[in-house]
Amino acid sequence: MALMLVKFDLKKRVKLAQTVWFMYWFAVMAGVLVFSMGLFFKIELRKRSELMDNNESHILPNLLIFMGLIACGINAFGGKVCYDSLDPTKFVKWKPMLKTFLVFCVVFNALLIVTALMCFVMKIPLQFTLSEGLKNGMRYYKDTDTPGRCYMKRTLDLMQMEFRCCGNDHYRDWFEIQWVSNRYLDFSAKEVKDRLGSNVDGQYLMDGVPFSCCNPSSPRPCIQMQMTNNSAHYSYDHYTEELNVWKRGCREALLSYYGGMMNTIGALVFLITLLEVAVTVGLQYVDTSLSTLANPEDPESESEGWILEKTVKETFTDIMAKMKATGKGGKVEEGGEEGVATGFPTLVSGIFCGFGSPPPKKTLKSSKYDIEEIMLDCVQMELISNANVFRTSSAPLANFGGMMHRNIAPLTNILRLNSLSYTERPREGVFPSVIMSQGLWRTFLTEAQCK
Amino acid sequence: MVVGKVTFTKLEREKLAEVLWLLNWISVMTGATLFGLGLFLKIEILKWQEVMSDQGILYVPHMLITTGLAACCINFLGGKICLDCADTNKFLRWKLVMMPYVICTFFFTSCVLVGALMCYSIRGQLEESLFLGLRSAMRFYKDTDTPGRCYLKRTLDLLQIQFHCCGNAGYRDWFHVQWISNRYLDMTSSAVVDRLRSNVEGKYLADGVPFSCCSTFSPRPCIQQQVSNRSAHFNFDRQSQQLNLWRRGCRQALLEHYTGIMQSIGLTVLLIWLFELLVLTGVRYLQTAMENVLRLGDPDSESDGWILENSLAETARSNFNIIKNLGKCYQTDNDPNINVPTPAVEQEVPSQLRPEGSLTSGTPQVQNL
Repeated sequence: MALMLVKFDLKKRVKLAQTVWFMYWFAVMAGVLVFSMGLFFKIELRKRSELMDNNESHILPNLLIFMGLIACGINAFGGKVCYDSLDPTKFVKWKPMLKTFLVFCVVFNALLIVTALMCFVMKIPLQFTLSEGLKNGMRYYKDTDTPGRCYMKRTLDLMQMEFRCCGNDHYRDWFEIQWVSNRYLDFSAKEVKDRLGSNVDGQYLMDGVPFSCCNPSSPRPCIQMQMTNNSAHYSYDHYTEELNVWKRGCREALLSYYGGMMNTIGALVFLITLLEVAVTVGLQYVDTSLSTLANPEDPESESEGWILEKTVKETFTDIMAKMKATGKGGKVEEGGEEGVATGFPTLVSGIFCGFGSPPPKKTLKSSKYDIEEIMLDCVQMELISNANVFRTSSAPLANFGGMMHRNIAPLTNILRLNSLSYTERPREGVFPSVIMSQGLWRTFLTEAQCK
Repeated sequence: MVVGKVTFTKLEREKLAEVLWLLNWISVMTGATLFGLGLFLKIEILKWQEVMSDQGILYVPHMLITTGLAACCINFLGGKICLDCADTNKFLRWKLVMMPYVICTFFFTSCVLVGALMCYSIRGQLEESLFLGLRSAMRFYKDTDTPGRCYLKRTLDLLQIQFHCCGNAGYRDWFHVQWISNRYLDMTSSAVVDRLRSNVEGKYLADGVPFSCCSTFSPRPCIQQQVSNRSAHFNFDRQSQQLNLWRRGCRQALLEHYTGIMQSIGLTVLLIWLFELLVLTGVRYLQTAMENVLRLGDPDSESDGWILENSLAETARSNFNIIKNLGKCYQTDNDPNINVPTPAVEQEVPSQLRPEGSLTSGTPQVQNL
């Protein structure tokens, strides 16, 4: 029972292909959007990398840029495939790679979800980087003569004015560090000596803040010095004074700025993921609807499209079995009677997928594998008739019985109608008769002969 | 003497109509651009209107906005007309509208030119307005408790921070105003009283500046008090003094800002005006060519198109006479050739005519011209 089976006629197929092509163009623009968001975020981080101690991790913007570029490429390719799907001759050249492309799309969508989640998670390391960087920034505020730090004062001043914040957590942080350089202190003055002596490290600490902490909305001229001394200023109470300097700490301000940005980017990437999933599903429908044409020569015939050929559970078990089988298929099997050198599914696929592989002449025991659970990679039947080469490939099969019902009926018609025969051994009876009897797997293998 | 005469074949007329249709649609878009530019300029001026004493500068964006809207409407109509002009039959519909349309287009094109020129000429008025506005803003800086002026402090601080300027012409302007309110001055302190007494008007003047004058490029913490006294601060050399505060005056900064914007807008508007002139010339040619075709009677023949039928001087004279005569519509004329019957003549006429069966009605009627 296929997942979300939909019947298609020609008109519906054309409409589907056009819609999916249109959606792919939106997806290309979405890819450009992701790329530009990554670029913007990277520039914003670089602008203030001094405050983050040059230590910030650029993994998120780099990932966004990378995903944006890949998204553009994938979606442009998908759009081209959809455009060509309307024309059978052009579609033929894309058909073989569609399976792998769709798998790649699914993987890419999973990565996009991971990216979206990362946008929300990366706030935590950013918080630590910011607090460390701001603390150092304030310490180097006075070092305008030290190469490498001479612009720290300007950066901090501009940041405090732009983000309307003061200090790390609040303005009192400025009281704990020396932000006036020794070059501008008169060491012969008594007041300076007192202050230097008043603390263990010999630093010139004062209860003042730089001018960039001042709030322009304050009704009175800014009080920057002797802030905790109420008697130094007329009609001033530093406990109740709200508007004099900015009350917010710069770590909180920067975090809310970057946090808001990352939230927006994460939400947008999530929405773009939904779009990508939609176009992937659309492409799967296009692919399956064009593969299951009732009458392959007639473009106007009916067909079916699905997301998965079986239910989710069955697909999952089949994938597990296949992985197990490919794992076991690497072992060489001893025993002449079996004579299966490369494993059962591979042999079968060899028979079906091309007639260049050596023909098996022995009866094969199927004790190890249950017929119903055989997973065939692909079934390709090359039918050569006169001058035409006709190739039909079906969707991954998990059940040989399923193959019978779905694909062999049209195949039988073709064989009967066109009187096709194999080049050297006319075996026109083989396929239909064997196939009609379900379960005669072994019989089929003994009788099937390749050229 | 016809001005700018060009002969058009039927094919050329149709081609001209098509081209003009396209140009008219492009004109609609340039009209929208004009509207947008006017809107942008208005918003920019309104941002800092508190530091401008008169709002006369707002004429420029208003002119641009109205001209832009007019351009959109007129050129939209023009596109419709030009499309119909390709066919002589459809042209008959628009025949009467064409002349007023051309005149309207001519007037609005000259309005566009006036708008462009205004952008360049408003600079003097702007400077004056900024000078007076900044001066009063600095005077009212301290009045944060007076309704109507309470946000001047904030505006001025943000202006100085954003434009990297201080004061009107320089930072010394702050020394001449009291920018600290009396509410925050301890009137009992002797220092304050001395300062208040030291000048005629009793203002608290000091050589200090607000914090917004501080330059972010200065390597040392900002010195706001006793700015001009170099000995009051340790190691306050000339270079420190240069870098300490913003050196530019806010009048200069704002003038440069607005002049830059208006010069670019003026250039764009001039280009739009040239384009409109081109469209106007094309429409005039099309109009005269179609009218001549109608006059000749044969829709397939060649016809002439021109800008003016007579030379410029004659056209001006005839238009002037028309305008003069418009005013004379309702006045009586003293021309001796017009018959104004006197009462004596009037009496005779009825007696002559009545025996013959009276062509006139019974009572004599006075004829007025």
